Amino acid sequence: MTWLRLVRAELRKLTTTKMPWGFLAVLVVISATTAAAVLWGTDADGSKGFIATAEDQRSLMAFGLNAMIVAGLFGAIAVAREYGHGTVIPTFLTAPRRHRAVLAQFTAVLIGGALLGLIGAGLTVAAVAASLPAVGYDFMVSAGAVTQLVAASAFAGASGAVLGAGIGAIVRNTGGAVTAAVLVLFIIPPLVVQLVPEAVSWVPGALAAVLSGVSSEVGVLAAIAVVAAWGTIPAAIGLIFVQRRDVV
Amino acid sequence: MHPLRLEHVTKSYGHEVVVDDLSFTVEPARVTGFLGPNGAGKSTTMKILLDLAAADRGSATIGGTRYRELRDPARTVGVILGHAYHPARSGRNHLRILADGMGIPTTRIDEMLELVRLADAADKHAGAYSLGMQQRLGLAAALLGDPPVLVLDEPGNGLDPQGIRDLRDLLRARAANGNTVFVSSHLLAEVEHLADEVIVLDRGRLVTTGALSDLQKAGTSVRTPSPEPLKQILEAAGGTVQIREQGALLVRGLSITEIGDRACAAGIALHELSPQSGSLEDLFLSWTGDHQARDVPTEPGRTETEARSK
Repeated sequence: MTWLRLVRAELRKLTTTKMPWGFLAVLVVISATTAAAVLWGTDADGSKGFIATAEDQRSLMAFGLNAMIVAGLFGAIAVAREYGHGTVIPTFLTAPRRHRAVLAQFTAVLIGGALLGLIGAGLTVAAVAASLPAVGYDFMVSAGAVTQLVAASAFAGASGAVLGAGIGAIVRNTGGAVTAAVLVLFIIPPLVVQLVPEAVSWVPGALAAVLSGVSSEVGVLAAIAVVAAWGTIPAAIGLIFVQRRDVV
Repeated sequence: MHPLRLEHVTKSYGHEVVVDDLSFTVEPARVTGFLGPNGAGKSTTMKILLDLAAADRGSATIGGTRYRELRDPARTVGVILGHAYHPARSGRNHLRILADGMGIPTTRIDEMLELVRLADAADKHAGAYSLGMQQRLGLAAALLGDPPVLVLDEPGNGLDPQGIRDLRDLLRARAANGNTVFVSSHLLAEVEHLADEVIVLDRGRLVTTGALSDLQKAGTSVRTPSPEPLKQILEAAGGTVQIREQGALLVRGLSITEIGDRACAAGIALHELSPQSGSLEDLFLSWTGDHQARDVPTEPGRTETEARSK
């Protein structure tokens, strides 16, 4: 009961500044860009091959990696700004056993990340569905496949948000946390693949593709477990840091 | 009743000792001022008390219990510690978040906003508040849970005269109701009007503690043509002596009769022998102005060392 009160407080923190609107604007821009690609984009040969089949359309709408990156930045900012503005002080005064406060914070951010993933995928599917008729194509993706795309995006968003939150708790500086989240999700994975080619199936992009049903490099359950691990490992490290450090 | 008690608390950051073997008690039903120059360790001490920072040694308790062990900490201790709000969030939403976490009905928020005279600006972004309004918001947050203990770091900063009077009346009323009120401040004139007790810190160490009225009476002004010989005699008798201006001494730790008798026995003429009732500012500067001041007795007959072991 008390912990649910903390979650409620954390959710109110997320909804009482303009930050969520900023991220929603980013999702609108991404979906609008996708629609523009459908309307005016072509393959290298000048054809519309990239939307010609159900599989092509499904790949275009797969939003998992985008969700993970956007939500990762959301989580990093949401948590790091608590330290920057000192609002973590009343949080830890309300819940001096800090793991409870941090878990409430991570839970709220997880919900926010899942919603961003859900909305991002929904907007993208809607944008593609609305723009295909204008270029003479039908929307060919089944309802089941669309459901998987949206669910995958929500799950990737939740995991990305928790990853970002963990980084925010470790770094505690908004700029530093955003930079670290970009490095972890975007810059470092391809470099790791260059060093260890076997890792190619386990980086966020490949895993998100499996969850979205546009790749079968690894099993779906394995992909779910590893995407979850991408979020929970930084979060666990952040939790340990928060317990041990003074609030300055 | 919730007395605050620190026992032999020490805290270092790197090689710098910020709080050094600090012991004191803050009693309920009193307003206790917590004084010290910038960097004396006041905020760190408060953070240790509130389990926001870990002491290297010693213990800090509230009503005999560590803060983190309190049954309902946020409703037991109201805190002002810096400006802990998001500038893009309204004052009302800031309080809503705190009320959510504490499980307090939202009707209490309006009461607190009225109490601190912030109702008209409650829906503006806190970042647009003046310093005084920010302090009022902090006070509303501290009082939200109607706690029996208040730990306030510089609550008077930036308040206008009306705000300072409101704050003083409010804190004195809460102390009169048996609450524990612990207030750090560098506004000495304000503390002089507000506090029953003071605790003075300098470079992390306790300089003096006691009832303000006793401390203000704790010195004797002596004027003599032979200040140096008299200083030696009085220090040998256990007093603390400061030579202030030509022939003028401020003596603490000895009664006025004892000073007169010892001067008479030594054949030293006295031109003045009167109880000193200094302003808090004078006392503060004498306590923290030089290292010798650390040996000033906390009250007649009680030394700093004794105060530490209290």
